[in-house]
Parts: sequence; structure tokens; C-alpha cells
Amino acid sequence: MYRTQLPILIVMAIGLVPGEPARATNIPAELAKAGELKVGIRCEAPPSGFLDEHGRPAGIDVDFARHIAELTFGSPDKAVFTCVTAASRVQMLLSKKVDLLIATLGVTDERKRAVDFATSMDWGSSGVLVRDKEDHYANLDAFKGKTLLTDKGSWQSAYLQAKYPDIHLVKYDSINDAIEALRQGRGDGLTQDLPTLVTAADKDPRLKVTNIVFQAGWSAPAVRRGDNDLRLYINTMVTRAKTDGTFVSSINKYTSGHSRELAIRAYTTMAPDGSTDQNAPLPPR
Amino acid sequence: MNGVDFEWASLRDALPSLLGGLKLTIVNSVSCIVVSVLLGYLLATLLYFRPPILWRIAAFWVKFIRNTPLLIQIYFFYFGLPEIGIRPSASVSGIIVLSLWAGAYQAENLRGAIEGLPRRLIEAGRSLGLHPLLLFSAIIVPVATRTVVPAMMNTAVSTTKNTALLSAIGVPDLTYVAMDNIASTYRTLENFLALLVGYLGIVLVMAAVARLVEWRLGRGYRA
Repeated sequence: MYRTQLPILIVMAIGLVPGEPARATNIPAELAKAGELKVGIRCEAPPSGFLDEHGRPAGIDVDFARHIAELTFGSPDKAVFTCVTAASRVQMLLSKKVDLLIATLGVTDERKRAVDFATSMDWGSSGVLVRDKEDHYANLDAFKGKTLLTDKGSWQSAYLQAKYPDIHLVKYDSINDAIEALRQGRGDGLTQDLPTLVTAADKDPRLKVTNIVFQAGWSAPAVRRGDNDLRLYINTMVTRAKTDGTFVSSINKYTSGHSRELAIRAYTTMAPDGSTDQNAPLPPR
Repeated sequence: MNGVDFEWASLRDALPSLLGGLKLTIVNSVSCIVVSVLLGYLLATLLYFRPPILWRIAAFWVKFIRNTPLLIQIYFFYFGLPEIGIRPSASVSGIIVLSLWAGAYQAENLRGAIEGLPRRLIEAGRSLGLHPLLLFSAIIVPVATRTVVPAMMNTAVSTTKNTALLSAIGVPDLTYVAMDNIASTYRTLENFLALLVGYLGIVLVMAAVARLVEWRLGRGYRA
């Protein structure tokens, strides 16, 4: 499977830089009227969303939102960003502070009751990050009676609370606080999406990603429930970005080495479990 | 459309975890208030007698605490001190920082009350030949305490409300539990209502205790 995909990936990785994009034609009336796209993004989750050295939002999600703004309004600067955390992101959407979340939001049945997901952007798995010399954990059972760190609102925390009640979970306001706490020995491991962990380990040689992989799933942009016009519009944007090289060019910009390989596979291939990237909203309440 | 309806059932489901958080908030608050009042008296004593070096340390402590944000103090203690090998747990870190914070304010409350005492009261004590320590402990502190109770209760209430900041370092108190519930169930209104009711309940009980203490101290001295 990988042999047939490799040439495609290489071509996408080195050759497909988006040219002058054609303006979209099916712009939702409300979005056209607003004249700007209010997007909630993560500011502490590289490579998806983070603040660059000038304090400006950057990352794959940010580039995608700017791409949508360019196709919609003719200017990437019409994307207005608000930093959200894992714990606050859905509330930011529901309280209309933002109209669209592109914030590493995993697609779950629980979340489908609160938001409507557009077409998924990338698939990923959860993993566990540990301190460099403590890479002896083979599976999640090995963490029973031990402490795992994560951030509030992560889907890993809900999963672990339900499936591994013997693991002591400590949740911080941001993933950066959790990573700092892991460095200081305040927990035995840290769980989050694999790309976030790989990026953290790339930056700090004192940290290492274990081979534990669990809970694979898709991440997708989300809109408020019933905001069908915007959801369908974002669907077309995601599909387009997957094929016109938008995602790949961002991935090349923000990642390197193993994390680039992981990200390109996550954004350009289907999930190994055979699940679809299409998301149907639940019926209206 | 956007799911802002109120669901009593979700509040009922969250109640056991919220009560667990409330319990920890009460334990944290009481611990910090007790320690901070003791620290306040200690610092006020140092500021009154001005023993060399010690009173400068006490004065610096009060200035440092009053002029820096509490959240930064919490982060500094929790994330900063492990770099030099000191690694208390989140709860212990929180109680220590909040006690140090409130202790500085209680010391200022007491210092103000002591400075507000009539000069003739202290002069009368001195003219009776009382030892400065006896004068301080038997005359100055008891009289100053009577006037400072409302200010001390204000600081105690602030201490209780500021325990909410400890959720940022992972102390599983009422705020932590409610915010975690919101993040996982998206029931914002219900959990914030529980938070407000929880803190309001604690503060109302404290206000009743304050009134009782003020009434008791306001009865006057018995011969």
C-alpha cells in the first residue's frame, strides 16, 4: 500500500505549491455578509496551531483558514483568529465568539451533540510521551496506579477515565503546562494526539514518545449545530485543500523528519481503520 | 440551535464530582485562612518590633506579595521551584502560595490596626512599667484585633475566592471539576451555576461566622 502511495506523496511534498487560487462561488450568504471569517484556532498545539516568533498565529490550521479567507474574500487577512484551548474551544463556538473551529477537534459522538463537523482534515492516534530514560511502558495497563498528564477537554481524558479508571489523570489548562509538568517529574507520562507529542519530543531531547498507540480517529473543522451552509462550504474547502496541495505545503513549512512523514500521511491518506472522513450531523434536536 | 438550554439532569449527574471539588475547596480555604492569620500575626509582630534583618525580610515579603500577580506567584512556585530541586505537589504548592499571599495581606491589615490605636493607650501601658512584649501581647494585639476583624474577614473571603486559581496547576477543586465538566460535556450554564452557588455558599457561611466573631469581640471587656 505504501509503495503505491510513495510517489504520490513525494510529488505532493515537493511539487504541489498552490498557484493563484480561483475564488469560490458557493459562499454562504451570512459569511459573505460578515465579510470576514472568525476562526478559533489552537495557539499551543504545533504544528496545527501555534504563535510564531512574532506572536502571530501560524500552523497548518491557520494556513488553511487563511486559504479559505482568500478563496472567499480574495484576501487571506480576512481570516480573524481567536486562540482557543482544548477546554474552551466548543464554548467559544457556541457563544458565537467564533463561527468556525479549526482547532484539532476530534470527531466523537459526544461532540456531535454539541457541534456539526465538516469533512475531516486528518486522522491521528493518541499516544504517550514520557521522560527520555523512562521508555519502558508497553501499553496503557502499565500506567495503572500511575499518573498521566493531559489538558482539560482532550478526548484522551474522557477515554482514559472511562476505560482506565485506575490511571490517575491530572489535567492542566494548556498542553504546554502539562508538558512542563512532565519534564519536572510531576507525572509518569503525558497523553495527547500523536503529532503534538512527536513535535514536543522533537523540540526537547529529554522527552520521548512511547510505542503506545490508542484511540485512532479523525479531526475536523466544526460549526455551530444547524449552520449547514457554512458546514457544506467548509466541506468543499477541506476536499479542495487535500488535493490542491494546501495542506502538504503547510506541513512542509511547519514540520520536518518523522513528524512531517506522520502529518503528510494523516492529511493525504485514509485512516488505517477504514473509517471515512465524511461527517454527517446528527438530526436537529 | 446552539445548545444553550438548561439541563437539570446534567447538573444532577455532575453533582458527586462537584461536591468532591467543593470539599477540597473548603479544605484549601480553611487551611490557607488558618495559616495566613498566624503568618499575619507573626509578620505584624516583626514589623512592630523591627528586629534587625528579620523586619526587612518581613517588609520585603509583604511588598513582593502585594505587588505581583497571585497567578504568577502560583506558577512560579509550582513550575519554577522544581528547577532547583523543590517539588511539592499541586495541592501543597497551592496551599503554601495562597497562605503566603494572604499572610502578607493579613499582616498589612494588622499593621494598619496597630498604627490606628490611640497613642495614649500604649503610653498608659508603658507608664505602668509593662514589658514591651507584654504590652504588645496583652494590650496592643487584643485591642487591634477587635478593630481588624472586618478587614481580616475580607482577606479571608478573597483567599477563598482565589483558591479557584489553583485549578490552573491541576488542584482538583470546585473550579477544576466544573471546568473539566464543561470541557467534556459542554454544559456551560449548569456548571457555572454550580460554581457560583458553591462559592456563594462558602462566603455566606464565612460572613455569618464573621458577624458572630464581631459580636463576640464587641461585647466589651469583663472586669
